[in-house]
Amino acid sequence: MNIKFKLSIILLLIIVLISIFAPVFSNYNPLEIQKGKQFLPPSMIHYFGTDEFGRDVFSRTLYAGRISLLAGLVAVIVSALVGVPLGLISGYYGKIIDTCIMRTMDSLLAFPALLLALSIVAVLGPSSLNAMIAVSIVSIPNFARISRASILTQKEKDYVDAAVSIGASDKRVIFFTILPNCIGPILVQITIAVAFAILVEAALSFLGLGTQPPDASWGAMLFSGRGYLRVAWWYAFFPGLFITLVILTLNIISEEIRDKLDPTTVT
Amino acid sequence: MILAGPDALPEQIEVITKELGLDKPIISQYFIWISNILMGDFGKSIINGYPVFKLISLKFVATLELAISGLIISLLIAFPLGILSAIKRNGIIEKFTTIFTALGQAIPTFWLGILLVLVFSIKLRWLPPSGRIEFTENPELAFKLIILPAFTLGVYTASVLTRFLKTSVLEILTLDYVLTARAKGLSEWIVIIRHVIKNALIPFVTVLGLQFGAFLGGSVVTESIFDWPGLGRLMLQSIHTRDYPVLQGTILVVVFGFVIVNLIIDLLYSFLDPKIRY
Repeated sequence: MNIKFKLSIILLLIIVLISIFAPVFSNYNPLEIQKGKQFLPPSMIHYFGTDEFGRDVFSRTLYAGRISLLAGLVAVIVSALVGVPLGLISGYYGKIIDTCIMRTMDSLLAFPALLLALSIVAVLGPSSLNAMIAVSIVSIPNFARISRASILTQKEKDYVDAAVSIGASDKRVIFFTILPNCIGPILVQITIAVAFAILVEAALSFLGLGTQPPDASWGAMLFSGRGYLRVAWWYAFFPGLFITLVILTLNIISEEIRDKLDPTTVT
Repeated sequence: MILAGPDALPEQIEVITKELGLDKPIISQYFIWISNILMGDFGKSIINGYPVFKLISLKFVATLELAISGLIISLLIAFPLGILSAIKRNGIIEKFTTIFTALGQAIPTFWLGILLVLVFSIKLRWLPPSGRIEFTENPELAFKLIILPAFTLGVYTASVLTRFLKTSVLEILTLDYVLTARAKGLSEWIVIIRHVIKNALIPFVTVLGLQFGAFLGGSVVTESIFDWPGLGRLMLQSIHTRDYPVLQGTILVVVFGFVIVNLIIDLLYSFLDPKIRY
């Protein structure tokens, strides 16, 4: 395990923990409007300064982390729960089932990811929940493709024949015999997908289509903060820094896991 | 309801519903829309009545201009960094490339755009923060206006391409034909240019095609930061105003463009690699 990987895990854990335990680490209510305290620069009292309503940006960034991280996690869990079984069924049965499922996935992939998410939110309406739904739908095809590719190589192996020959049902063979052996690539995809989901949710919120005020997500804070760049650079700076750190650490972690699983990769 | 307003009478709502064809079943609405599209009729904006096709063609040039500039920036960064970092391993260029690719893929486009505006427009006052004018009107200002958006759009793709190019070149350098070329006594640069780069280009072009999607998605965000009057902003405005004909038309054009670019990339393979024939 290299130092970069260890540092990434520590940094990610710190961000996750201070977001989960936001009330412990922040001295201010993130929604509390303080008159006369608008646009105070970062100081020992307000670590990340204050916003246009005098709200503490540090508290808001921590609380926003809860929404952003939760959005990423929920979106990935939902898309993995839908995408992985679809890919496994598609690869195991093949033929017409494979064609139907994979062509549907291909048609989803024909859209650039952010545009598809935008279109879904356009239909459902802007909100935090709808942004999560959009990100989940956008992430499904990748899970389906990866699990299909894994099951295609696994299903020809002897242990699968053995399971089938002792009379195991298809459901048992797919989900209990083969799935545990496909977990590596799916795990890598999960870390990539969490980073991607956080990024897309932030992009949607930044465009005003995700989390709505007064709630804060990192993207939504950037959306409000960019209007005040001339007077308060800190307002848009810190939420963006948190997004970047989370994506960076997740990317490093996923690369490390991938390298461990496939030592032939040259980087 | 939104078009008619909250105080609309049921009769008014009925008239609007009929006018927009919303009284028909969804499936027939869809076929009417498709058949109109096939005849070149993208419908009209329900907000200002402007023909959607005309609206799209007006904005298309701006997005194309931004996408091409972003592409140029990303190629200008990716080519030298990708190749040099693979050839001269463990040097300062490789260290810089590693940091650049890691950060380039992690920094969200919208934050990068904001940082660039903060530094180059607000603090240093070197470049204007937003807007677009035609190159024919004032080439210098037009050039200054496009630098920040193009860079914002290009950095992510540049980092993906750099990394990919570096990996391909590293893999190719270990292959036998490179050894043969060197054994023939060819100079290192000829080996690199003629044997390594040419073969590294095939997977590179595939990634470039796939990155076109990131460009299209990124353009929505970039155009929104820099008030760039392109398709991305048109799409965003139509989402906020629920102008569905404009939104449908724009998404159709953008996705069609994405598919066409990928088709062109597929066809380019046979040109780059004579072993591939369709």
